[in-house]
Amino acid sequence: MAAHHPRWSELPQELLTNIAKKLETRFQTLQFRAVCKSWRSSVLLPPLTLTQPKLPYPFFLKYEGNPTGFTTLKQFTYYTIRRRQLTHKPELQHFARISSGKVGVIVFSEDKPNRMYFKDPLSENWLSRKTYLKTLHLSEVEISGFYKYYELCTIDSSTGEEITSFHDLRKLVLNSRNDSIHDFVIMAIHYPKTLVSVRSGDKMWTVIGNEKGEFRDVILYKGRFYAVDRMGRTWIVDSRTFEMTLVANSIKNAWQDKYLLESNEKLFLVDVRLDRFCYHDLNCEDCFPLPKECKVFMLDEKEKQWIKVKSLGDAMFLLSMDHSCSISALDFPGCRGNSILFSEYNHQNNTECGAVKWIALTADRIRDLVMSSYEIPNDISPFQLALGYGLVDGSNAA
Amino acid sequence: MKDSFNPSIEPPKKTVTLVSSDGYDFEVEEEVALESQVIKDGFEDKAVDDREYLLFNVHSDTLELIIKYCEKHVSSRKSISAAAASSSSSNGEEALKEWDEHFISVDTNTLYDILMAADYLNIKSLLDLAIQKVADTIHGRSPEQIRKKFNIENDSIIDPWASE
Repeated sequence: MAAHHPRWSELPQELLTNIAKKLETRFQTLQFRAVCKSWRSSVLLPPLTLTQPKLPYPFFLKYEGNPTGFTTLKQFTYYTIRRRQLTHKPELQHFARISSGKVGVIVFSEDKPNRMYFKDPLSENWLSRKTYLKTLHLSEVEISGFYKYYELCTIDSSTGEEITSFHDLRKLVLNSRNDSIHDFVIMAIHYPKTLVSVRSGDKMWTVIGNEKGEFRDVILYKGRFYAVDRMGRTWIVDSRTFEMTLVANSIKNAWQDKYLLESNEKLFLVDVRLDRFCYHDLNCEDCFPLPKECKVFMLDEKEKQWIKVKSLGDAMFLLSMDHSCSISALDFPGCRGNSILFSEYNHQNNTECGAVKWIALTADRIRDLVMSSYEIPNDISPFQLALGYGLVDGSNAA
Repeated sequence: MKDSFNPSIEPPKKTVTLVSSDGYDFEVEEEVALESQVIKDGFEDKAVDDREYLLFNVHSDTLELIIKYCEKHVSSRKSISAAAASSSSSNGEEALKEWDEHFISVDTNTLYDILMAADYLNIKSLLDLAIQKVADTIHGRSPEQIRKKFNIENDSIIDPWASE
């Protein structure tokens, strides 16, 4: 072998630049830049490839004031941040708290190019990227994204500032070919019962299948849209023709609310009993619904049936109005599998935003988490707060 | 087939001598050496009996590999164009690609030597191959794993988002 010792960190800049050019994603380039000083200086920070399509205004949503801006998507990503080792530097203490053997969940939003905000589960504020990263030694943590979701908002055309976001769209599901903003289909539930869609190039939103039933949830599963109604009947909705194919019949004694989510590549349905239910919007204070019980089903496409599930194994379901996902409790030390974390909170009313519900599937009642001593800021997802604080713990439920 | 019919007609192959950094001579055919753009530039200006190149930056172990690569590419190009001329079907390009892949499947030390030599000698196709291999090696690895793989020391606490 050659006598000298290879010095990869001292490769000529031109070679490093050419290597970086071969990397396929922005994330990979970020990883590349994190290796060492010379690698970092060989390649510029790649611009965000942001999907910010201009969408038609959702005509079915009421809006106070003049909609002067355009409607678009805001993307949120959940990341896990795992600390490799503890440091004892004082400015890092608050992070050490969530990460001494635990995983902090942080959500960050990329609402327009070059502007990213991180949400720190332990502070009440949005942190800018810079502030956040100052406190975080990237060489000491591993960051990986595990869930992405969208919200709809309007942006002022002249200032680029967000004017409003729409919270009565229950869930926004985006299917885009090659991440292209020119070729996408969006479906959403206009809570509580209408399935709506908009596609690239559409002049307005379409209401789908309102003769079929009251839709409660929609999900993108294995590349296709699935929508479930109040009875548990479930359809695949064709993204071009909106034609609906029944894939599961109704469930027995269905309760009012439904959540669809994917876990271990299977499709799950959570049927929820609410103490109250009304057709007003979510901000209706008289009838703000609270979950009381739930049942879980797994889809058997062959038999066209939802099969009741007795145990979720290591999985934890996180359910909320605008996004639902499944995580493995094994990845979150202190969390317990076979459980459902259910969040329901009022976006508009700060005083009432603190309800995080948690149940173990074996129990039949939803139990309040011990949240009373914490004020939950209304723009922080209760999931990240609960996971960040390590509150989702068997001892809290007992 | 002409060559085998009367081999004496074929002119003697012109050769070039490449000298490795540790002092070994490698006699290679002219067209093989000309795969290197650096050798090619100014090749005609050199006297025929002075076609010896001292490659101060290339160790004999690496040079052997580089020559192997160039010989393979020269001969493959010939058989591919011969197949095209006789319009017989050929999977020569596919086979060469496979050969390349096998060739570049080496440990990171060897990869480094090939990369640097290909850059020094300016052998474009080999340089591309080596660069792609490095990128593939980076793919799917965390910064820490990359450092480990390439034996790079972490020289700072780095914010990959920071601009220079």
